[in-house]
Amino acid sequence: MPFRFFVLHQARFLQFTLLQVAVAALVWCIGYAAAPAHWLVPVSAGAMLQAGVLVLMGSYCCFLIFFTLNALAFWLDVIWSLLVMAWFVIGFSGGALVPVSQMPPGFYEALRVGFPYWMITAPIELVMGRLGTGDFLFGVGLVTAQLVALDLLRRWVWRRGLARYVGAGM
Amino acid sequence: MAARAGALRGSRDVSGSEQEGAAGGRHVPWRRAASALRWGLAVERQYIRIGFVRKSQFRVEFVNQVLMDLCFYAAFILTFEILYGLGGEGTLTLGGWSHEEMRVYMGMVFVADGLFMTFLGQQWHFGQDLKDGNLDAFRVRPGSPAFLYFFQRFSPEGMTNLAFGLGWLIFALAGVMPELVDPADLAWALPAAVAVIAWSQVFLMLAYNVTEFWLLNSDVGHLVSMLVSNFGERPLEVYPGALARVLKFVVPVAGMAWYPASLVLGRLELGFALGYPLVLAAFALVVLGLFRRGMRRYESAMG
Repeated sequence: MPFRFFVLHQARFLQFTLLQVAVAALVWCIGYAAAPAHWLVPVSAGAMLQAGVLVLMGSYCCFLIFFTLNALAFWLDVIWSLLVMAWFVIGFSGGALVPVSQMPPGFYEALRVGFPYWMITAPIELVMGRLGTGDFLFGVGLVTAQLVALDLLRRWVWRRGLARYVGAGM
Repeated sequence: MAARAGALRGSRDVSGSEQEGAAGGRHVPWRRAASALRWGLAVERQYIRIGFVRKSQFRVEFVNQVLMDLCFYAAFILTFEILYGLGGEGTLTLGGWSHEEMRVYMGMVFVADGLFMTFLGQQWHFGQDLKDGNLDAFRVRPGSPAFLYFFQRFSPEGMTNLAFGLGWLIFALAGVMPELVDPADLAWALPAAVAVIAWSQVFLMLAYNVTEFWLLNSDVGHLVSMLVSNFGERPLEVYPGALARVLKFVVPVAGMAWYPASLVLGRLELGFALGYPLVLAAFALVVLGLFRRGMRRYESAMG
């Protein structure tokens, strides 16, 4: 390949994300046109932009986690159950089932430091005006640190795995 | 030779029981049913043996799958515990279900999931196998192709999770006895509830997958399975009336958890409690008919 294996997956992630953003924007427009009184409207364009940044950063963290889990196939025979498990954990800790801010204080404080919260619950609250710019900046700092850590982990796992790899017939 | 002739005539029974019946001068339906049951159990015993052999080669995978389902159960339990906690302990009901009743409902969902994962995991591969023409080996007499195909992948990890699910159900039932459930009633209602769950899971799974015969390579079976099964994980009272009726009578996912939980908790009127199994039986007949029609469309990889 003329480029690294990871770049191929990065490009796929980019393609998938652009498609999802386009579909989400279309659905939002249809919903707003059909029932403006019942549709979630951002408190400001700035809040929408902040929410979008956090969603994209969180999505990239997810991508890195799933790439790393897939790379565990160098050692494990089957990894699909790890992928499903990761979705459960990310979904729950992000607030896909119950908003993190509505959870008991102990849960809220613990989950607030993880990127899933800043990818799901926090963007919604930014759009609703419950969180402000200060929260956004705090979230960006936190997610950036986790993104860097996850990328380092991804590189480390990939290199270790590649060192173990023996191609068919070799 | 007589058994072979039976197969060639299209008889479903080539196991020798027909010959025995003829020797006795009569065909006894219960004897045929018992023979079919013995044969099915013998096949299932072999599937279970193969399942354990297969999983003994993937031990990390076994642990991962147990953990995966425990994550699912934990997320489910925490969601409802938090929701009921928000309303203040003992005050909130969801669709008329109290916190204690909802725990029983969750137990039924876990048992349904455990049964599905234990016995019916092969359904995830049906669309691909149908497309590739890989069903030849299952079109044998006297077996049902549906039974032979869909039950072939016994899962020991699913069985482990089924044990967790049953444990939660027993814990939840202990919380409602004797105020809501009479222990004497539980002795017949609980086995009946589990039987209804098993029956519903088998025929709902079959219903989702028969669509693949007509929409080959569409993966529609998976999509329908995920969409419809999710409805069954919540009490029907939370849905609008028309949708709830569809989920009871058209695609009866109510049999997965709602009917069994309601039966055990005594929430059903007697007429409905007695009549609803007939709905499930009729649904099963329709689905089996569709499966047989679908199998006629099947094309082997050998042409």
